[in-house]
Amino acid sequence: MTQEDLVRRLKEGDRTSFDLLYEQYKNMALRTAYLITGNLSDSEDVVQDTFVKVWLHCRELKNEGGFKAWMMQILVRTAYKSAKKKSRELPDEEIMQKADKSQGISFAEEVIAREEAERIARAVRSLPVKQRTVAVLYYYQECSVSEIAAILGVLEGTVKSRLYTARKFLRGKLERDLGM
Amino acid sequence: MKKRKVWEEKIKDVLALECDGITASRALKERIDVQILESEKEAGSMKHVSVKKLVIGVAVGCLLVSGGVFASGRAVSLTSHHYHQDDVGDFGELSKVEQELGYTVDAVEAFANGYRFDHMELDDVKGTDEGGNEIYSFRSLDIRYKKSGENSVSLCIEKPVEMPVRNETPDATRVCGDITLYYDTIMNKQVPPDYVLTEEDKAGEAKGDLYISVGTEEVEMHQSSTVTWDKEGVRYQLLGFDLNLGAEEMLDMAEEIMGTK
Repeated sequence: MTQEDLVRRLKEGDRTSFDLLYEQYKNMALRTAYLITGNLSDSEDVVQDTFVKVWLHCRELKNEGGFKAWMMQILVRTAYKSAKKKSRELPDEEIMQKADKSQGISFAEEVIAREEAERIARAVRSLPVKQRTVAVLYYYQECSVSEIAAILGVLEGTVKSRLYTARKFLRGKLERDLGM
Repeated sequence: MKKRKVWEEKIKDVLALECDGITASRALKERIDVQILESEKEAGSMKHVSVKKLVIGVAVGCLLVSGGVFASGRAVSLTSHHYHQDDVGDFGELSKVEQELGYTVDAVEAFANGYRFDHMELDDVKGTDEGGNEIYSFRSLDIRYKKSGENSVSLCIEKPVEMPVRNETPDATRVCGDITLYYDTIMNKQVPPDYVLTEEDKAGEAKGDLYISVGTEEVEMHQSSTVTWDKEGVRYQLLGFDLNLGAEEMLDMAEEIMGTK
């Protein structure tokens, strides 16, 4: 069954199709929400709200092929609001908990690489939520400017402006901290 | 996509690494299932907030009609949804839109007071009973007009399954031939689904000074102004929120639509 078939059946109220679509997107959704909110518990709430809205409002989606973009729109807007409301720094100990992969490099190189990654992650975290959201969509999701504009419901010029600000900030910070 | 610089590729790698290993738990899915069940159960009890009488609760970007002015028929709730991708930006396409509606309508491209056509959209309107069951559906046309520096005005046109019956005195009227134009203004409070009515809300509703509907993420207050008339089985409603237009000006606009001014 294609994804469009699943979405069509979802719109007819088929719960199995909803479950299958959830399985397909759950981790991508949770990770994107996490990168925007900076908090795992909040990101789970965001994913929960998102998929409840998907179920309750799926009949508003006219083009079955546009399911992912529509779902992302709900997710990102929900995550953005959550991050804006909480508006807190991610505690340092939560940063880079997963960065523990040795791949045959020396201990010194591993320490340097880990430190560099932590600084980069911290720099992204310190972006205001508007710029951070755009940065996550641009770098992590690899969305285009027009896709980001559609997801956020803003003009492309607004996305470009936020991306410019984010890149300028990140580049400046990374040049200072890491000599990049 | 443009080729990215080295430092940008590092950002992408770090973000991927940061959330690598984060996976959705079974408990999260269970919470989703429970919330869906609760939302569906609550849909039947939301009427105490959204609808006692005829209401059109609106999706993003559309309009709240003068709820509370008309008595309902079988339906206790009407909901309206439209799809932005179907918006029509050319007034010249009206005849095609009329074909989709199934009937011709009165409409103008511009008004004497400077409001001009912006776009039009077809909405799917559904009527539900007290149990939340859909009992009918129909299409309505929403023509949006804009004027620089002013809030937009819309002309909503539909052939409802049940023609609403007026049960409140209008704030102003005007008779044009055998058609009566009714002007109403009311304060509207739009609330999110989990909003709980205050005593003040209930008192306002009971007096007919306040109309509450569900459809926004935060509480919003807006003054709606409407002119309503029926012609050949078609209901027309000219309306807007927080307008700088008085009753006479809006009635003049209605007459322009009817072609009597």
